[in-house]
Amino acid sequence: MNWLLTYMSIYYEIANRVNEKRLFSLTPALPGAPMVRHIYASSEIHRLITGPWVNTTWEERCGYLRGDLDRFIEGRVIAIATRPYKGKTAYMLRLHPPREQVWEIRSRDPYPGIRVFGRFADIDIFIALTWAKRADLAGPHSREWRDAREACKTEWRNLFPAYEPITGNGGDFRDYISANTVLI
Amino acid sequence: MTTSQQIPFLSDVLSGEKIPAGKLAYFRARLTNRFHELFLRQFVTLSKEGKITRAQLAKRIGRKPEQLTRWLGSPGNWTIETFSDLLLGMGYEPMLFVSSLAEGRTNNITPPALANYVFPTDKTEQGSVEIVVSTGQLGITGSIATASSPSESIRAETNSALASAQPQKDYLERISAPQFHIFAGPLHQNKKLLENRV
Repeated sequence: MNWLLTYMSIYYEIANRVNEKRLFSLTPALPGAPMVRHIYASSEIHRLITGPWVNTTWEERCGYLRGDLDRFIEGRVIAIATRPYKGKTAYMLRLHPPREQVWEIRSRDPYPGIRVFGRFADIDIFIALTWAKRADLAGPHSREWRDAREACKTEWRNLFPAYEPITGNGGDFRDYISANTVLI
Repeated sequence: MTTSQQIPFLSDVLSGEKIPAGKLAYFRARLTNRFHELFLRQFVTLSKEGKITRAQLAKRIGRKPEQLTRWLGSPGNWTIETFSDLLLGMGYEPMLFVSSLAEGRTNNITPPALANYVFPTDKTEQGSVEIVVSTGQLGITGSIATASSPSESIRAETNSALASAQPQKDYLERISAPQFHIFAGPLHQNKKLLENRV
């Protein structure tokens, strides 16, 4: 019997989701800017970036968010909190419990702060799936936080039913982001 | 592949019309992030060399160490004064230049990895930190560059930009938006850097 082994990587799946317009490759806003890391955004996050927005205030807030996301994409130095509930001002954090591999990018300023939740498909490849206003998430152990994590995981399963996000080897953050990170 | 950038981001910025709120905000965030990255790189580099600690810097600028820790994470409620204090606390000051967005200059340098980032320990101009936020033909791009000789880097960069630039006269006539060049170097080096730049 001849066996045909077809290897489909998560890259293949990402490309499919992009073609289906279920994911969008975020590129730096400015032409010519370096694209060192990658963010593939769900349609709801893509709408934050590209509009339309409900009003000028929200358009402005989302402009700040785009600037913050470009910081990641362009490979700029970012601060990462090494432990959940610590490093509250860090740019990025892996949420508790770590085994769920749900990360957040924090766009803290101006009010209202925005949290973008996602998971890493590979090193330097972040799949941004859901978002929330920080004020709507209440305290660190709240039901809202749990729901936010669950929504992120559900969205991942919908997009990549056969794949799990990467897991850091022994909690080494270099397994997620290759360079230009400062751990706090 | 579908990407998020269907319309040139700067088309309405360069049109001379009112700039949308979202784009004003984008550039505010971008500049704030550049300031923060500059501080972060500088501080981490000096820390690795054992030249400064959070506590020492906090004490020098009259702040609590926990406040400094927060600033390491993100710029938060930074002001220009905060940025000045933080750089000065490490023995640096920023140098700023402006130029027009419409010059059609694109700077497409990938930032160096922090792990490979070597900050000078001697007293020459070698290796000063430079952040250049420069213009593209239809856009602004940013970079952080380290160089063994910044003056050479600046000259090469300028020559390259001049060679590739295609200034668009109508843009030049219609808009003169600022462009920022931000440097941080040891205070004694700034004069030499400025002379080289001019």
